[in-house]
Amino acid sequence: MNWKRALIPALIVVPLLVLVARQFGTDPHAVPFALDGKPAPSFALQTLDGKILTLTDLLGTPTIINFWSTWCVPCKLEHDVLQMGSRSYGDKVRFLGVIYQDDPDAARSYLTTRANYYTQLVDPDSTLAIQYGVSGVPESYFIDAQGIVRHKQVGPVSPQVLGEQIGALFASSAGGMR
Amino acid sequence: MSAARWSSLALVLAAAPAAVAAQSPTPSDAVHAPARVVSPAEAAAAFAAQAARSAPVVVEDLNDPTYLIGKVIRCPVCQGMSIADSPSEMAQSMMKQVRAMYAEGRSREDIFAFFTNSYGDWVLLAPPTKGTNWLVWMLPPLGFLLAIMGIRSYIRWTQQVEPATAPETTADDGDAYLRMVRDEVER
Repeated sequence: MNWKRALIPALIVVPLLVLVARQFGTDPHAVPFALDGKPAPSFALQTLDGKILTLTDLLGTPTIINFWSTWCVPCKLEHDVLQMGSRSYGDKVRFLGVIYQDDPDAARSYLTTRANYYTQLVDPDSTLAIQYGVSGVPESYFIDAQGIVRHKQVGPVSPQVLGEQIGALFASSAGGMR
Repeated sequence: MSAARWSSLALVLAAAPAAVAAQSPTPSDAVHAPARVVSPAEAAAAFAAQAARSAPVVVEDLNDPTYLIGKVIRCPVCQGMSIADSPSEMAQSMMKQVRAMYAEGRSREDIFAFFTNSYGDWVLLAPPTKGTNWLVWMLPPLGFLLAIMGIRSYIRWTQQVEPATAPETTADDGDAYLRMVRDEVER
């Protein structure tokens, strides 16, 4: 066959094969991390204690926002890791829990049986979850002191991930302060 | 029924809640489970909790603009369903957001932009025609054209090759018995 005639199909088929080969390496169910490097969506939500907390209250301190629920088994697995992290880092890092599609009373009841060292927010109609691009629980968002979202952890946070990501938040926050 | 069959049935029944939880659009997909085996009891409990929080989708008007907008937005906790069709609580919350924004007078594009800001273009079931997304729209017709060209070339090639290679034959060529009979008659 004339090579010129083969050129046109090749120009169509080769990019297609490259595209397919690239996609084989990705998880088709993974939800993109659209907020990466962007300012954290603002909010004003009620805490389980009835106070109002806003995003501006958090600026200046690296923050971890964890979406969780009492009906989520993996959330219970990571609960102690986050609580220990909160105790270890103290005022240097702010931890926030957001109760995802759950009854606040169920969350209150659950937290009486477990350690709880940080603020828990109620998210009616999942407005905050939608703004952060949550696609299930547990999911945690790591925000630096300037309010920029730096990392999204899908699934339970391990102690190793927590340490690494908080280190990255400190580095990012220090860079932003310069 | 034999003991082996009973034990197989018991195994299937024990695995059923986990299997249902794994395929259902609402429960398992809303939980980012670590790579470990979830017991049937845990899966059943998670399924029951989520099922209780889901409500059937009731559509009163198929031409409702908010329904048509919701049809194009992907439910993030389901597999390939729009928020307009999914009964999951997350999808219903997103539909509520769509209705609220529409009631405020926000345009269709504004509503899409709100969701793509959080979830990227992935959240749109009809990807916008920009960047590499063009490939998604262009490749199917291109592939179709390519297939037509290929079939046309093949037909032309076979039509050119067949007359040149086909040998001249007579009806009884290759039939040894007929040739023997003809020789015998002619003798």
